[in-house]
Amino acid sequence: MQKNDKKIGVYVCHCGGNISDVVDVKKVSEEASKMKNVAVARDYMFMCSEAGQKMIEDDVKSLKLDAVVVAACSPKLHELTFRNVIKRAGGNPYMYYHANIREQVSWVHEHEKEKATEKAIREVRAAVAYVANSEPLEKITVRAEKSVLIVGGGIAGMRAAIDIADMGMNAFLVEKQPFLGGMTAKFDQEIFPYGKGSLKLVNDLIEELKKRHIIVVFTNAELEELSGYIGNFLAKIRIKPRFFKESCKDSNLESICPKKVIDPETKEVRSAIMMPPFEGAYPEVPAIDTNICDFCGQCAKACSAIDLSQKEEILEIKIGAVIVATGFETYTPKQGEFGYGTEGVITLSTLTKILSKKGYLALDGKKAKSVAMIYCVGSRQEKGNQYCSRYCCSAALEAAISLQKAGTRVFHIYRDIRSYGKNEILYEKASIGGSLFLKYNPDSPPTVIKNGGKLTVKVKDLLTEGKEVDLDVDAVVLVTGMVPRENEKLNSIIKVSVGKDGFYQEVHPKLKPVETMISGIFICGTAQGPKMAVESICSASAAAAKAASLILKGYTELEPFVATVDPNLCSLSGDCIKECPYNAIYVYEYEGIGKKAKVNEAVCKGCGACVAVCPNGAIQLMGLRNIQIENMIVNAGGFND
Amino acid sequence: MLLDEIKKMGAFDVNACCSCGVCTAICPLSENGDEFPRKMLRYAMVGLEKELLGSPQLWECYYCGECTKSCPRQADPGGFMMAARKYAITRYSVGKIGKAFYNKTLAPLIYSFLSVFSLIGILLISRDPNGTAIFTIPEIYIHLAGLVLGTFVIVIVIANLAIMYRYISGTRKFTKNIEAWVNSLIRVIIKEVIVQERYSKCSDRLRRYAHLSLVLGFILLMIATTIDYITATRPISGIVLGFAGGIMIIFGSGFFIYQRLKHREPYSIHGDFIDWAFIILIFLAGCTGFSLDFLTGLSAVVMMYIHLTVVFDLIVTAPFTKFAHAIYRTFALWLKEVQIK
Repeated sequence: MQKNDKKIGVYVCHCGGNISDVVDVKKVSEEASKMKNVAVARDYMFMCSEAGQKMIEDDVKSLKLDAVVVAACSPKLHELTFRNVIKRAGGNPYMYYHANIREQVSWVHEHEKEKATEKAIREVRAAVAYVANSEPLEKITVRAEKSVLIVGGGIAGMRAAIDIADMGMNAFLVEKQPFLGGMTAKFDQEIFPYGKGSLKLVNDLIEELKKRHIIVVFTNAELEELSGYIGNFLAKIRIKPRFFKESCKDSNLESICPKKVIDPETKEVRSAIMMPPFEGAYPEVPAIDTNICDFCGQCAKACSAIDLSQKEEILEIKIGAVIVATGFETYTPKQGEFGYGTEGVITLSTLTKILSKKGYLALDGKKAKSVAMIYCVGSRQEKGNQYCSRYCCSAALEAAISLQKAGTRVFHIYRDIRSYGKNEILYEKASIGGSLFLKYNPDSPPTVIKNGGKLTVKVKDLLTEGKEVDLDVDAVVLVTGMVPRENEKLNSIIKVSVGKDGFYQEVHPKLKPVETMISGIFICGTAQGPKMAVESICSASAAAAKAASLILKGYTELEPFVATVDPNLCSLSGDCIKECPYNAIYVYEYEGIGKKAKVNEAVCKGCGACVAVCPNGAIQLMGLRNIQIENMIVNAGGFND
Repeated sequence: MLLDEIKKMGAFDVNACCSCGVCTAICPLSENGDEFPRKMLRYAMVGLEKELLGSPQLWECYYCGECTKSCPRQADPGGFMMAARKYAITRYSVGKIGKAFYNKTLAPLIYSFLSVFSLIGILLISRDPNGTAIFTIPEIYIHLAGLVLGTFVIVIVIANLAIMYRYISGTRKFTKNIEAWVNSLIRVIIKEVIVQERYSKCSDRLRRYAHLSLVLGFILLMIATTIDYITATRPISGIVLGFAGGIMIIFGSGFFIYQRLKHREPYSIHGDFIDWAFIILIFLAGCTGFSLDFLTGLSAVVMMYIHLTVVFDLIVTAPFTKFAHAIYRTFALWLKEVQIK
């Protein structure tokens, strides 16, 4: 072993009894003071308190400590605190190890105090071995492009774009459909509890977008390729032609188009001409649906604004961060699921569309006198979607209130009503308005029977002692939830991990709720999981703020725990390049050495996969070099030298 | 829909019910296993008619109004129980004749017809033995008419009880021990009819005494009439009992009329023709019967005519109207006593 004359300070925290009630902290500190290289060892009631921090700061200055070990709580809580203490004292913040003797010792070994103390000593010994072999590290600085790409032009995407623009950055908003608005624009429904129609919300966001000239909107466009890393992404956008140079004066274009299809959802006939779907839609220019159009040219004859020779374009843009806001899809029940496919059995999304147009429900010309709503269809299933779709209870109650206003009796056949927060008022309103709630056990779900034109729902109602109740109704509404959008292509481009449920996954639901494992790529809205409109908007603003915090300075700082190649040892086997899950390693021409592997520090996540596969031991992980880990293991085992 | 039918009888606010169960919790009479009113409301709301009509609990309620006062949704569960009882009376009655009595147009016509029918009958059997132009009714005819009327009512009541039994036996099983049936009947008659012990659990004391006074008054009058009939004279015991019974039903019915007029308590807010007819007829029967002891000559004869007509109306309609609750409640409580849990 090399000669090592580092001076180390060890600080053992009582955590106000959390640790000291179990671990003999005095003994730990005493043992630590005997360890090699340890210049000072102390214990204190609360090391994180101002006095505790001051104590370490003073020691670092007066004793000229090279490294510090604090044995306390989880590093998640205070690692950063003590790194900053060292920094303030003029030391290198990476000459530090945070030994966790609370979560890993005192809390879990409450009844074995002596052994707990011994374990704490071993942890401290390992930590001392770590810092004894540490070397000062610096944060990695990467230049950052002050612009953000937002994928998805729904309410979340639009909100994020507006917020990005307001922080002075360029926003590129890419929407797959020919018009902005996403799912929210498909329903003309009131968004509770703010008394705002969903279309009004979409229109307001569009108006805000238009006011900001640093927002560039691409509709009919898709992300085709994404390369680079945080601060320096290069995105390729494929823009499909609209075939319209401007709007046509002839409003009869839709009837001129000979191609007619029936929309599977609304059952309405439409042509290949896609007119702006609502007033105030953006862009105001129509588009041609190339899935239907066969380029017969009849429309172009009728209107000179139509140019069928328009070609697809691919645009390259430089961006510093990406926000993914691709939204959700509504669950479509399987044939026969609660009678789905039978006449009179519809989904909640169909009901809301009908209600937004007519204000009442009439399926065969007659206004429905009674409607049964079956909740949790496609959500909270033992096999299948296990999650709660969050919005459906409130949306169903909202629809029930509209139905009741139109004189329709509503039976709610539910498992649990989760009209959380302010939405509880909806439950109250529907209930007082005459809604009848029948609770079913998921083990014996309700059945829907159609007998001679008559719909009957059979339900074992837990609120009536589980007796079977027959409800004769005119329509059955299946309260369907949200499912993740199938987007294989985008997933392979952005490489954001997808959860078991199929939604994009954040790093941590509370600590990093809009961040992904890929630095510089953020998620928001319902692409991440079921959300209400309000929550989607909030997460969009959060994602925008997080993106800004990384790139707004024009550069971004990254932790130095990355792999580094010793070109003198590298034989360019190529194993590391294949193994790296982040494509962070590439071949580089070293001066005087030749072509060897090199790590792009901005892309590297410090996972260590390359270290494990390198046949020559040419790669080391900074801050976690083999020598550090080996010494930690040896010392934790108690075999120091 | 079942609920719509019941709502015609009252229970106007029942849609506001959220099945929370506060009514059942506050009810001094509701018992474990046979809870009410929540369960009754629930049956009606989800359309379980057989369960509703097969619930003896409907008849356990004295409509004290505690549930209605404490309902967080102002769904008036007490009013619902009353309406459900009215509905049950129509459904338990043979050929659903009871329905006509709860029809706001038909009911007054029926009462008018019955009164005219009674008066004509009385006039036909009246005689003027002394030639003083004062027509009296020979006692033999009155007794004969009473027997015919009584037999008619008893037959109908038995038929109604059979229907009620069919419903209730659909929801529970009964013991096969005959002795238990007999003992239970005796117990129910003493505890629930004569003493009305359960009623004492309701907070309104005065109302319980008024009700007790009505029931006991009827019983005393029945005994007095029987004594008169058997002895064929008017012994002092008959006179005293009749006098006491008369006062008691005048007090009882008078109290309920006063409460209804004052509209203060929940139970007296709703009330349609049939409810008024029942209570006013009792009051009139009491007053006219009582005054007979003090009147002589022509006025006594006229009063007698009125009294007989009122009594006829009251008795002939008993199996189809509120009067029937006396029998249904007793029967329901009896069945509850002999049910196997």
